[in-house]
Amino acid sequence: MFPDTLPSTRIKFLFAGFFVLSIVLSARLAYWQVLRRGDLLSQARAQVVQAETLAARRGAIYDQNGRLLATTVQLQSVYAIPQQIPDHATAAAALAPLLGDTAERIRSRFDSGAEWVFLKRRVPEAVSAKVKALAIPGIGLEPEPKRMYPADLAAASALGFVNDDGVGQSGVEASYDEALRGIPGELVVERDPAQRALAVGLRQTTPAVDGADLVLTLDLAMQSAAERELARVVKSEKAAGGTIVILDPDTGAIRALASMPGFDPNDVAHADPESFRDRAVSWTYEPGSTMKAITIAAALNEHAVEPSTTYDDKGYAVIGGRILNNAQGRSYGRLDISGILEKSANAGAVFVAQRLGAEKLSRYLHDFGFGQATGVDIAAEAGGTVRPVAEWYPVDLGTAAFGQGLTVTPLQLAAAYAAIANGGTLYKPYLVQEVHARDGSVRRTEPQPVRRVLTPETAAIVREMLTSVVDRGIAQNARLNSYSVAGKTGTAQIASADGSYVSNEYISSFASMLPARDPRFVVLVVIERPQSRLLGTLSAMSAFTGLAGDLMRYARVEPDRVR
Amino acid sequence: MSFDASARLFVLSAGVLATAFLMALLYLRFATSIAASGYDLHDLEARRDELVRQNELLQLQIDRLEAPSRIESEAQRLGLVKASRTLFLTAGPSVTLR
Repeated sequence: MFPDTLPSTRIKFLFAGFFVLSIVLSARLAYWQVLRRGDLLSQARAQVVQAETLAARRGAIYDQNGRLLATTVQLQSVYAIPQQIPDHATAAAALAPLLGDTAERIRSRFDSGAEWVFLKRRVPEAVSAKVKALAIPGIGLEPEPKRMYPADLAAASALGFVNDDGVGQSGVEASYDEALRGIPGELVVERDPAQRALAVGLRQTTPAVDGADLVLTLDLAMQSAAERELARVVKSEKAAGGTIVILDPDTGAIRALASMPGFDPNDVAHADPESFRDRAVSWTYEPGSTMKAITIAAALNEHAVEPSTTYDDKGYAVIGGRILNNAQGRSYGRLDISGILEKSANAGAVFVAQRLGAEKLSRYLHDFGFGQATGVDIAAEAGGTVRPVAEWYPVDLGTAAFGQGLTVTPLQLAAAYAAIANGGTLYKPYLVQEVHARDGSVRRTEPQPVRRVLTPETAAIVREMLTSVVDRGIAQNARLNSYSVAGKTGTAQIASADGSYVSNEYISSFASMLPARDPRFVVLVVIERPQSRLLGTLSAMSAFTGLAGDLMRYARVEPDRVR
Repeated sequence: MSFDASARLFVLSAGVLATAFLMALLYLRFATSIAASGYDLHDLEARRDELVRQNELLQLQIDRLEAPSRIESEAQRLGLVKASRTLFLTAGPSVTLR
């Protein structure tokens, strides 16, 4: 048969050929299945296994009563996969009114050549529902985190805001960013072509650790009242801005921190960047006559003067060859120390400062916390400027005595008044009361006394004098019907870039403590460039009285004076 | 080999094959069921996430409505005014003892 038709050698060659071929194929198969098995496996898994970041939820922020001030929610972002959209023109026309954009611009994004593009990020729920109802192929919704501030503008400058990537940019959001942010996790999972996780596939999870929640010392009710009064006087005075600080003098806890111009943290894209600067913490000014209380407190504490010490006020003082006048050149005749505060006599403050001396005044300015940041837990705190005493000219002793030639932040001044209010101890102001970590641990901020500045006796005498300022002196507009108030007005000039003072523009302020006999709150009102100029302190006191009534009622403080 | 022995071998072989077939069917059924449950689980997780999201948005709305500034402006809109004075009562001994 075969031998007749095919030579045996040809069969052998054919067989050898198949044999060699099978050896080659087997070797190749072994190469891929054994030696390169890992590569093939990893390529196959790469098509179905996906590693995705599990975003940590940013911690919420609450006021001292547990009212929500900031939280993160998931809002829907609208995206497009242009290749899957059957009719670009029709889809753009349908989406334009919902997304608040023009059909032409939406269509240009469809036609940009991008495979995937966001049309609008973090849209309101009503909008996302309407987009979903359109059911346009190639148009989808993707949840994205959005920081929200339910109290809207309230405490915006203290809270700060976050950028699109969820990173804190100012205020508490920036200073506590690391604690708030948390730690992202990872999910490694096998998915089918429809992106659904396979139940029998790989699933490895490293859970995200959510950010810590913060409880602030702020009280939303006090904050809202402070912002209401500040907005009222800034508007009526057509002022450039202003701030109100409310401190608990016994602890340094900040109860309210209002700043204008303000911004809406829910819509920072349309805010004026200048409004991001917290006027209470990141802005400095020459405090003017509110510093007289500090000068007199220092002199009384050093017994450089006594409450009964008197001097003859001629309307001016001569120091270092310079003449420093009282406001509007008035002379008051014989005044005691309380009278200097009641009349707010510049010459009287110079007299007291000369008795005290530059070295001691400089030391007390430092001890009261001026010229250095308080260390408050808010981002971008300014330190103010108090030049070293070695650099003082003789006249600087006089100007510093009534708050010129040095700059402070409103928070520094409020903290200094708090030291007078609490009996002489300077406390470090703080805004975050508790940090609640996700593991259940709670870190509480304890009040931090910085140093004792005054004896309790001196502090009580100064409080008494400041009460006289409101009852009989220059700050009578700050009187309340049922509560004693201790306070001091201030009208400061504004330094220009060339070192001279800006003509006819002032910063008006009123620093106070109430009730004066046993202060529960220190309230500082500062109005920047009020239209009524030298009379701006009236507006500052008006803001104070509008706020103080609500404050006492809300804090349930019993009246200490009969109506 | 006798006829009985051959028959027994055939029945045994058929039984083993049938059992293996049934086991394979059961395994497939089980695997399919798990896969289907996985999809159900995925849908339920998505639904849960959406409900959690909706709940957070509703909570946010509640917090917005409870903001003191909004309540104050709403009170003003309704014509409400602040109390002109607060009356503080000094409780007598008989009251404080209760």
